[in-house]
Amino acid sequence: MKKIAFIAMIYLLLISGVFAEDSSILLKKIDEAITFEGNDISAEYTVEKRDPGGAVSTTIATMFRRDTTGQFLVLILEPALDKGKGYLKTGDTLWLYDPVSRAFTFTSAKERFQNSSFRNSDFTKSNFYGDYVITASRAERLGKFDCTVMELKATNDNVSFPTVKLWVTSDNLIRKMEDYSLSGQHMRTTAIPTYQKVGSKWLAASMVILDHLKQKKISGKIEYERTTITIKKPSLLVLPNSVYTKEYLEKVSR
Amino acid sequence: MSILRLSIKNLLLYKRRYTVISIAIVMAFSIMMLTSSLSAGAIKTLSAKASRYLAGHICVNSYQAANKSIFNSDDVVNEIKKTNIRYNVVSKRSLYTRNNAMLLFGGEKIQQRRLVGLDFENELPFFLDLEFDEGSANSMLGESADNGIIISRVAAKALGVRVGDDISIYLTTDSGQVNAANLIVRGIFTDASLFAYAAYMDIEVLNSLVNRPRGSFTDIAIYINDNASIMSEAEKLRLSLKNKFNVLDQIKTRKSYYDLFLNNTNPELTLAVIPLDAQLDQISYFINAFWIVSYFIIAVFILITMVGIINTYRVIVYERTQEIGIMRAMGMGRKKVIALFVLEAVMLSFVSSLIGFLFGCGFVQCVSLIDFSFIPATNMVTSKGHLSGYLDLGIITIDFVAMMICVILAVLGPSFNAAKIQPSEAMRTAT
Repeated sequence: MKKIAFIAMIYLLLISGVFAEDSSILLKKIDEAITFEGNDISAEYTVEKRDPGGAVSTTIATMFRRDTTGQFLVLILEPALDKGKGYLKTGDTLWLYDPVSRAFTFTSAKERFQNSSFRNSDFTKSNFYGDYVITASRAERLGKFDCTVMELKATNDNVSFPTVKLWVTSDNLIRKMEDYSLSGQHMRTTAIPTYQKVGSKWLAASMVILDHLKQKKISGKIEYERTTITIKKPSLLVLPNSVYTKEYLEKVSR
Repeated sequence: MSILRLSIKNLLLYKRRYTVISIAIVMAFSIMMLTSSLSAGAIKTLSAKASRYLAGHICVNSYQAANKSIFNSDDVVNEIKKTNIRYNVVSKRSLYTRNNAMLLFGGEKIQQRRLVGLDFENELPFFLDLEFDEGSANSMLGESADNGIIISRVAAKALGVRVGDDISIYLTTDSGQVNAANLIVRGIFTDASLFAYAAYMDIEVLNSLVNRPRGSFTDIAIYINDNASIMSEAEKLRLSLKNKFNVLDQIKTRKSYYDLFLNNTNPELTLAVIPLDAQLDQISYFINAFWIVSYFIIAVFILITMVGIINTYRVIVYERTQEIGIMRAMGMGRKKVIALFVLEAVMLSFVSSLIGFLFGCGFVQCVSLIDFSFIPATNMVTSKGHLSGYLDLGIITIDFVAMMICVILAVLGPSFNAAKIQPSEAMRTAT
């Protein structure tokens, strides 16, 4: 009896080790599918924020990103009021440039981008493998997609959301993501219905984010703040190193 | 007959003439009373609001190098309680001062400059005079504290909430992670001043939201006795704590506070003792302007009164020329003549000031019935739009003495003139 229990325990330990290894590989594959290591990726982002029951605001920005070094530069093109504003990430520091005062201020990747549900950290390269562990998974059908639903828990304090749920298809692409706060409150839902192939990798073509904190009951129905992101004109054109500098941001902002 | 008895006799004899002076002194003193009482009351109201918002009359923080740190044990609190400062309450607070805290309800949101986690049981006396539109500070006692929040009228109006509504609170933990929770509005307070941009909740609720250890706190709020001087008690506390802990130098202004803690390189726990007066120094210009205007008004009234007294006394001296001549002829010296008139004035001033004090109290009551909320800047110094008077014994004594000195000064000139009158001249004038 004792022997059986011992063997069962060893088997379970091995299984969990295998599972752990499998799940970490899975996260790595998810990251690899949408990360552009060794390349510069640039694209135009249209961020349309719609408040529940009303106002719509649109921001158009150009993003340049170098995943190898973890750098990015985002330059706002519209609206006219914010034109020239920019975000520059170098190392662990994220700067916000204001063309009016010509000053750089320190900001955080965890802050909202242009007061929308899209965060500055959403521009950075995917790093689920480094930041999370899978705590549970199951199969689920999401519309036309057969997905594996993974529950992730953060392994460090650097990420905005300590708990995340991912719906991933067999091609390792995230179709839906739910972000939860430290207290377990459902904060936002991100749906990525379409991807576009850029080189050998994938870039989301459109995303819809619902902010579950900002909700209003309209005609008996709950409406959330909705942010729609459309990503167009992707390019893998090699960019000079000077693009990821404060001087460049100042120059183009003018 | 002694000078004193003579002066009393003269006061009663010439009461019709002295009534005019008395009325002037009564009016002047009552205006002085009104102005200084309302000014003291306004400053006291401001101090009460500020102490609630800024963690007591004296706040103790801790730093490690130039970073504010968290207290994890009660050592400092226990040490404070052992000192001989005149305190009412020593209470722990957990503060959230990152500008990204938000309250959300029904699609509306409002940013909160400050979230204050405090021990309501301990600080309740200082929240009882916080005016509420709905609910009360008492609603934050017991189990209600576990999921309750008190917000300002400004926030409630922006969100469209009432007491009992569930609101969402959004903030980031100390490490920057997003967190949110649902809390029930237990009270809506009416303060519309700059001290209104805060929400209050139980200390452990805030600790759990920002992921701080249970029992930890960022500030120690010390409320001192009403008649104690904040700056001197703070310095007394600082010197006492210095025996056991590293403590920053005396903090007199907000700028010196920032300079001291930014330049602090000591990696070990270092305390900062911050008096309320230092934290309010940015509005000290406002406070000083308040006092300058008050004393200017008082000075003007005293000047007018003095001019009136001088003129009236000149008439009195002229009318009593014969009497003065007789007294001089009977051997009364010049100094005694001066003393006689001055003593009359002193007694008149004393009695009139007492009457003026009573009238002043009445005026204060009348003015405190007026609602000044239509003037936006007054919300810092008013309670529900009303000014409240405060009888500071020290200030009243100063007013009393000031009035007496001014009356004596006004009377001296005519008294000296009276003393110069020659008996023979006085007789000639009479005839």
